Amino acid sequence: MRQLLMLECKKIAAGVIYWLFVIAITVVFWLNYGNVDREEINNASDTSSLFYCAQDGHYAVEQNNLSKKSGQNQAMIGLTKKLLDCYKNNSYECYPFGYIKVKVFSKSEQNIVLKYLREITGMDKDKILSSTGKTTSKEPEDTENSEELSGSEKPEDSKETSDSSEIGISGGGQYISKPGTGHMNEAGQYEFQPDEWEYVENSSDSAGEKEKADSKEQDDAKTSNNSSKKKSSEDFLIQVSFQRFMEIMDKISGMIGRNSYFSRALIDLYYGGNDMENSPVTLKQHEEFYNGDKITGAFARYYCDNIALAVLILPVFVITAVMAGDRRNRVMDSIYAKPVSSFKLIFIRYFASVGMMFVPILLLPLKSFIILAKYANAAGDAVDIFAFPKYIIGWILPSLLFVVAFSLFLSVLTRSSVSVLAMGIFWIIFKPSVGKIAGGNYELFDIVIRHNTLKGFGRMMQHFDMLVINRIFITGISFLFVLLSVWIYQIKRRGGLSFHVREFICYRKREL
Amino acid sequence: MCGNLYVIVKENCKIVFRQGVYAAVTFLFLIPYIYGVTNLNSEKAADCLGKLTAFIGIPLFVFILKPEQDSDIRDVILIKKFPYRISILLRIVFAAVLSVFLIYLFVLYMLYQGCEFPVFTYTMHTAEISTMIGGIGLLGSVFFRKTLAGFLLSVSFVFLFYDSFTVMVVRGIHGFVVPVKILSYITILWLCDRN
Repeated sequence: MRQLLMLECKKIAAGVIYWLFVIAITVVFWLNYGNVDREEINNASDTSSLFYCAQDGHYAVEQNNLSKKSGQNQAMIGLTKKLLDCYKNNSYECYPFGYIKVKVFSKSEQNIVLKYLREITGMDKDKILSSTGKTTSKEPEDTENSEELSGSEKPEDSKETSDSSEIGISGGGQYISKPGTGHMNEAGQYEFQPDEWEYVENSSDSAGEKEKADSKEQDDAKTSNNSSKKKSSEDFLIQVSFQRFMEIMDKISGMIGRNSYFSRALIDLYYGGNDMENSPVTLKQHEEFYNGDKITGAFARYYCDNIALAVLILPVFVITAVMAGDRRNRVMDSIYAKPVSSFKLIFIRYFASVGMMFVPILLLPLKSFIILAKYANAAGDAVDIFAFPKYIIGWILPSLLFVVAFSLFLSVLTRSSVSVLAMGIFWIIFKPSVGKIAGGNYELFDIVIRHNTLKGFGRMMQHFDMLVINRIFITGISFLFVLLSVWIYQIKRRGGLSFHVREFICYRKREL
Repeated sequence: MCGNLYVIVKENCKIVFRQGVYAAVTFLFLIPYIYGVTNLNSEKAADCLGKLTAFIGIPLFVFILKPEQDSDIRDVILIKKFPYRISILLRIVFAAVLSVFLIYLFVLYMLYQGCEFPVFTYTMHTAEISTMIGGIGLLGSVFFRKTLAGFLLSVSFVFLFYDSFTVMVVRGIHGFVVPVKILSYITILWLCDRN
């Protein structure tokens, strides 16, 4: 058995496709991960570097805008404006597969949206249709279950003076962008063009200014109450509480589809403050980095994220080439006749392929680990020496197992290279959507796990159970596909199930 | 003579059609499902064309040499008097025409769905990207004598330049890339004969 395994490994290593795979994964690694470790270390004195240690113990304030009233107000106004725009144009955008998808509602669906808009703004249909969606009306009323917002109130802590449909997404100051702008690159990182954002200074960044910000927030509410009396006819009022508002958003999001602007994931991403930007490090992030991640953990997670999308497609070439090699060399019949069980043959081939592809994935971050370990050693910090293998085995290996198993299954079934095309489509469809880039929101069927930031250890640990279940599930499904491959292979060995794509097409043509 | 030429053109076109069109058309049918093509503005339409529609070049071009990758067939082809590179040239031209045609059909569908964008410019630029991605795959395929290697190179290229495709649809591919592209096709033809 060991001999057979070594034979398979040698066969894979002798193939040009395997080395092209190694080159491709290395290039992806260098382009996406590159020298992020060195950059972080070199910028250690910068407040946005995770290596930054504040001498006075003061770090940036935790940014979770949706837990603050001003943040909630900002979100409600921004989302209402977006919804008004969508309603008027009958064009609702969502990202079900990581790409934008525009949905046009039927008349009854539009009526439902109108009903919700009436409830949120208190306006009738004519006013809704005539509203420009550019006024930033807020009018908070501190009643038990409802709050009204009027446009004259600006979120003070962000000093946002432009159109409120602009959204703050960063920490220290804010990079303000419009919903719908930006795009996701191949690594799943969300990118904005220079003309799609502007930097706005934020006065409430540091801990020392937190109290000031809070008092400003109170003043803000008072100002807003006064301004509500001056409300012009063009302004709209938010008539519902934040809780009710989010319920409405959930319903509208359900109508539009997965990952619309009104979904929890995207609301959190745009309005909840995310740690994917170069924002100043908070105390929590600092502690998570040094105590939770023990430095290397954060980089290991980031490494896994950067190669995750490549792992979803590149391994298919190696396993397909191995299977195609048998066909090309016309050794299928002699293999079929060998006194080795199909189970052994398929499983050895499967593990040989997985093992050979896993080696470069495991070795690529070695340099990064040495750099980090040296730095931590000099600084007297503890590092997790097993972080890279742990994350690679936990995050990447199940994905690799699945992709190889599924490709193997298609190759055995169709005896063609159709698995490459199938996996290409599979990659486009199962690529994690925008809402998952920041990590922390895992689902059972996620084939790859995203976490496009060095921060967020706590977010991962918060949903660790789901993460473990997901990885076990994906691994289980992989072995199921391998077992299915064994079964089909066994049938084919006995001379049954002689279907394969080319024969099928030729047969259909003859029939026609 | 004319009869022979007709047979040659027909058979070579058939190879391109049989190998790649099914995959390309299936992929085009899938696009409206994964990427909305309703009421897109010019920016989003460029995104859709560059980041999805242009990929039809992969099946259309990379499969071109597949029949001759069987060593027995290759031996028969290479001893024939008719130059093999002419067959390949015919296939490349037919694949390019098919690529433009399919992209144009998809563009028409997008217009029907209410998208607004400069039709001719976007169609031609998307076809340029499509032939570029396909050409790289074809080069890999002829160089390594493996269709899979071609696919791997095309996919890797897509991975590396994925973000630039939208801009390429709007502005066209960079002037520097055009001679490189032509050179790569000449290399393909040269390698075909050497093989």
